[in-house]
Amino acid sequence: MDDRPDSAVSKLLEQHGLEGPAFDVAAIAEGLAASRRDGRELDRLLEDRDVEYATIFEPEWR
Amino acid sequence: MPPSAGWIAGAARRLRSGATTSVELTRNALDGIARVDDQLNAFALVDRDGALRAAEAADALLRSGRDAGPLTGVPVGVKDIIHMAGLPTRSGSPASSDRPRSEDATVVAKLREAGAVLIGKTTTHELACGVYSPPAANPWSPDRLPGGSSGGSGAAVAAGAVPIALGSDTGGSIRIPASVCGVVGLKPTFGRVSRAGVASLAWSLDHIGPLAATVSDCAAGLQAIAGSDPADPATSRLPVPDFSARLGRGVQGLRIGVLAGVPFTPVQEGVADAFDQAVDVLRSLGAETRPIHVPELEHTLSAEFAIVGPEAAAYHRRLLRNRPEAISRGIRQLFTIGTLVPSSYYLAGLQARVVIRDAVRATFENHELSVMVTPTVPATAARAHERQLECRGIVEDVTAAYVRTTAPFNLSGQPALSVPCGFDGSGLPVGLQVVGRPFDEVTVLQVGAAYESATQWSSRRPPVHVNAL
Repeated sequence: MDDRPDSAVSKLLEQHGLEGPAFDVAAIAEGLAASRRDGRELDRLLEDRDVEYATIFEPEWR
Repeated sequence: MPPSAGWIAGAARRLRSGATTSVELTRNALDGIARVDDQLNAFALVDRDGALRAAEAADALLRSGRDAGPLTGVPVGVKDIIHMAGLPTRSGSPASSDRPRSEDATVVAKLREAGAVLIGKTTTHELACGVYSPPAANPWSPDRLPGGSSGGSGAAVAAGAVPIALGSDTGGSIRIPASVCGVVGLKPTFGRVSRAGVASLAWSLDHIGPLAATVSDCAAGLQAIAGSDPADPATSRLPVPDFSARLGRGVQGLRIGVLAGVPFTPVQEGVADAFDQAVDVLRSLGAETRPIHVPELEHTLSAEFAIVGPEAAAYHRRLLRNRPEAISRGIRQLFTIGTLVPSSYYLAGLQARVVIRDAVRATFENHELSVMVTPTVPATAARAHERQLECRGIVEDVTAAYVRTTAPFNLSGQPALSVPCGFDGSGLPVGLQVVGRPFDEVTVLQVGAAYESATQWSSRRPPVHVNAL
């Protein structure tokens, strides 16, 4: 990643074919930073836990 | 204690005795919509001709002595993300097509089989992704939001235009409008109701369910739409029970967990008062209540958004790439971030969901609970232009505030009902959320019905109301 967050986000957007004035690079950079914080929070929840089959969700309790 | 008389059961008796006809009920509903919808915008599309044709067919069916069940001849609204053959699905989005759909969603086909009269499409928040549902308004105070994303369904039922309407719920989108509009709303267990033919927000969290005037009406609606469907691989093959079977049984002997701690706190004072009184009522009816806390639920919003963003971005990938300006700014932002976040973030959300589900299960089992209860949402209806609300001095984003108490059960997949439980100091409705074990909607509805018939909050009428029913 580029050291400048906006520049890195612009590159990411370009890689995904998301270009043009509809994409507010600064706001997206801010949103990505928030998702990283959320990700760290989830890491804390998942620390020391083994979670298997997470992509096959079953509501039923077995 | 007998359950509150459901509107649908009453209509079924009148239709079969010849006291009314489906055409009459349908005309009343259409006239009612015409009277209030300038104020409420609860309907995105009214199918007057189709509804009257269906009503005539229902009357003919009843005259012939054949009977498709309690919904026969009953007017029903359908959220405008659910496909109805012959009508467009606009999803509250300017990017949608006006092309009529060629097929019904499975739930619509099931409603037609049950003899329901589909009166039109109810307003949804854009792409089912928000709690404001503009231009729909709240019948209790039209300057306030009706909740969302199934806001039109909540407003239509609260205003008395239809007794029941379908909604969808990815983070609370049935229960939030049910709570703030003062009606009953049920998010069934994940897998109980097919999503085939419904525009998705996040496929692993999306649920379809009814919003209705009473718990009994909600049970009748769920009965019509539940069941496995090869077109939706997430649907369960478990048998569909009689959802009305225990509506009059009361709560004597049931053990109810009263959820405390984050994310169920803070809540506004008027909500807390109504909720505490609701718990007292349940106790007075013979239930045992005990406070419980599930610490893992503190991670609800992080897990919910880690899943919703990437799944919604994937579902709307072409729209985001080709017509981003056709998506409103906040939703475009969510989809864009959902596209760019690393897969590890999404997978952590899915793993967190399993941890949350297992923690809730352990709590149910350790305390031998029949159901859990919470306030449905921490606040009553915000003003339509407000983006923040205050709970006990803490200012929160409106969407995050509403979703934090409902999304835990999208993540866990459990059935969750919102039933009216009083009013705040401004006269705005408050909802009680009843959460059950997976595929145990029967007990959830039993508890909701017992509470409803002991209190009669569901019989109060908002200022914008028609007697179409």
